[in-house]
Formats: sequence, C-alpha cells, structure tokens
Amino acid sequence: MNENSKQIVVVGGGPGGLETASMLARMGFDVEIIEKEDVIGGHLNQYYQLFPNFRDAGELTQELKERAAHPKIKISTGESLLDLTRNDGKFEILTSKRRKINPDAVVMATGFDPFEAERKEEFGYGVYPNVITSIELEKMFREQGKVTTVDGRIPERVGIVHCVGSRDEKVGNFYCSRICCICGVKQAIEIRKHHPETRVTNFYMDMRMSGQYFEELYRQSQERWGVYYVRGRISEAAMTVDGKIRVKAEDTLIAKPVTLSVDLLVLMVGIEASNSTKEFSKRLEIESDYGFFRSRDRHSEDQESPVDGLFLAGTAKGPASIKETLADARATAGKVWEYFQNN
Amino acid sequence: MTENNLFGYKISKPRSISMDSADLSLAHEILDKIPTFRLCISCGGCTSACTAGNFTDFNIRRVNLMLRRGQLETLSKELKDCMFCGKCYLACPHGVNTRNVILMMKELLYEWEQNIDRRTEKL
Repeated sequence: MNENSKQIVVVGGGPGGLETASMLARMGFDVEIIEKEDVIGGHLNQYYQLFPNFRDAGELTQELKERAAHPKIKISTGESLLDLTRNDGKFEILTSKRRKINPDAVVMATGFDPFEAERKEEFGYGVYPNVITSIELEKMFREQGKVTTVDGRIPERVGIVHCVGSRDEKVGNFYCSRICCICGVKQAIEIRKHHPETRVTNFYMDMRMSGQYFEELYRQSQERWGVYYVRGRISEAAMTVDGKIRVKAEDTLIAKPVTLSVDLLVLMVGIEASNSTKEFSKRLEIESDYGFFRSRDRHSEDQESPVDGLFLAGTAKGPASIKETLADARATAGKVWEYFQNN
Repeated sequence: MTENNLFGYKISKPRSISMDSADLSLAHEILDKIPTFRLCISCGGCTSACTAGNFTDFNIRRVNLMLRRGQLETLSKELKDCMFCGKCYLACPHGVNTRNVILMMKELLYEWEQNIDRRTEKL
C-alpha cells in the first residue's frame, strides 16, 4: 500500500480530531481537518486545568496544535460539512464553502455539546445571574484567575450541583455523562485553593469516581481541602431577599430536607451529542442512543462505523474524558491504517 | 421496644432489619402495578420538593424505602401527611410515579392493618 496516495478527511478539530489527524499524518497519509469554528482545539480551548492532575489545559491544547502542524495535515477552519455521502466506494463531501472533496476515508470526530442548563429551569440558570455552568467556571478561572459573583465579589459560599442533564428522565437523558462527578471534585478543590475562606458544598446523587486517580482526588478534596458533600439531589434554586441563591435538597443520609444559601451556584452540565454528531449520525443511519454515533462493536470494533471507510473518534460516540478521547483517537488512526492494508 | 421480664431485665428487640423474614408482599405488589417504582435511586429529589416533608416528619423517599424493607408498622401514620400535590413526581429524575405509589400504599396498608387486627382478635 502506498500511504501517500490515500486522502483522509477528519471532521472536527477538537482533541479527538487533532490527535487522529496527527497520528495519520505520521503514518504517511494526507489528512484534511475540517473544523466549523474559526479555531481548532474544540471545547478544550475553554478549560482551565484538567483532572485528575491539574495540568494546564492551554498547555495541552498547544501541544495538540503543534503536533497537528504537520506538512501532511491541511487544516480548514470556519468550514462545516453540508453533505457526506458514499457512492461506489468513494466519499463525497460538500462543505459550507461549496468545496467538493472525495476522500478515501472519513473520520467523524464531531464531538459533544454541553447540556443546555436552561432546560432544567428549576435550577434557575438564565434566570439568576449567579447560577453558572461548570464550563463558565472554567472560563472564569482561565480568564480572571479567580471566582467572582456577577457584582465582582469573592463568594463566601459556593454550591456545586452534580448530574445536571445526566441520569435525568425529565430531559430525556438516562445516561451518566461520566466526567461531571470528577469535574465537580476538581472545581471544588480549585475554588478552595484560590479562596480558602470560601465554603464549597457539593450536592450529589452518587459519586462515580471511575477513572484512575479520581477516587484519590475525591479523598483529597475531603482530607486536604475540606469540601462539603451532601448526598441529595437539588429540587430547586430560588433567589433570597438578600440576593443569594437558596437551594433545596434532601440530606438523604439524615433523611431530612436541607436548605443552603450560596453566593454562587455551579451546575455540572453533562455531555450531549453535538449538533453535527446528531445530524450526521442520523443522515448516515448509524445513530446510536441520544444521537451519538454507533460503532460496529463496542468492544472489538469501536473505532469503525457500520459504513465502510467511515471511522469514529472521541465523544461523537458518547461521553468520554480527554484522556479517553486521545487514546481513542490513536486507536482510530490505527484502524484507518489497517483498513487501507486491504482497500 | 423493650419489655420488662420477671427479673427486671430488659429484653431489646434486635434493631437490624431481617431481610429474610421481612414482609415484602406489599412492596412486590406495588412494584408490579407501578413499574416506574423500580427505578428509584433514593436521590431525595422528591423529599426536597415535598411541602408536607418540609413541615412534618413525612419523608416520601424514606417511606418508599421502608416499604421495600418490609418496615410497615409506622407507615400509615406517616402517610397521613401526604397531600397528593404531586410535586415529588415533577422532581423525580427517574420518572417514578410517586403519587400513585403513595395512593396504592395507603390502600394496601389499610387492608394489611385490618388483617393484623383480625389476627389479634383471634388471639
């Protein structure tokens, strides 16, 4: 096989797309990344530090971008897919810039969108300005290096709500987004690090410390950083006369209703299939649950889609951490190489 | 519960719930008739939203769990505080039809208590 003769399009320039493209280029393939935003990096561009080791997110973004700055990789930003079809073993792509591309293989790395917190109206997002999402807290850390309420004060008390948009039939998502638990722990520690006077209380249904070193971080949050945990789901948030946010839950371990007034409420928003993921998984008829892409087999063929020559990487298939996404992207590149051994 | 015996010693009933001898028939009947009841993960969203629960000892999450453990003695007293407003149903992330569970529990507990009374009369 002559790798030089094969052209591959990677749809999406987030961590998954970048890493897939970087690996493919190093194997000798010509790759084009098509990214709808004006910059590559995806959601990672907004993050501050990464769990579980508090690595600077900007540093990882930089590293991924440098790896993707490769003579065999063409990056087209500000361009999205209008159409993707496969006829007689050849793909046909039409982009928003009216470009037609005929690649030999396509990798869908179209990723996720954070859950729109307005949909859980009882939590008051979009109604009370001091109710923010986990992504907004990341941006706050990244841009101003501290946590403040809308009027610029350091909050005395912060509440963190787990499972916003996950494990919730009322918004149609039965699944667990898997990364919000550890994100809640990480952000609670970060708040305590920056503002030792601020009390942080996490409201959770279950603490799911599924990844390596996650449990250790949870333990550290209790032992070293004094984060409070209440086992109970918040039913509603409301404004008090003095402008605080009052949340109601049940402390299920005591079996009594509990209320807490906070200056800032942070909602751990879950992972949903991005619009592009939803659109193309449906159009290609390889839709899994909740609009994510379906792979051929969850164990042995998780990087291949049911369509020949169409591959999948990262959160386009479902919730995953950045570490998992990068590992998956490398696996996807390997599977593309294997595909071209026979095609 | 303690009872005095002849020698003035107190005999305590064991505090532990025996899952072997617990009467789970009511729980099973409700689980069969209201399948969403199987989905409860005891998050407490219902109790948190419950108006009765904020002013009385009524705790819907705990009541449902007590039923599943066969702890029936105190239930009907606690259930008197429910006003059937249905806020618990709105709050539940797993779509448990909590309101129906309470209603059915009341009905079945009524029968169950009648039976207990009849058994006691015979003694």
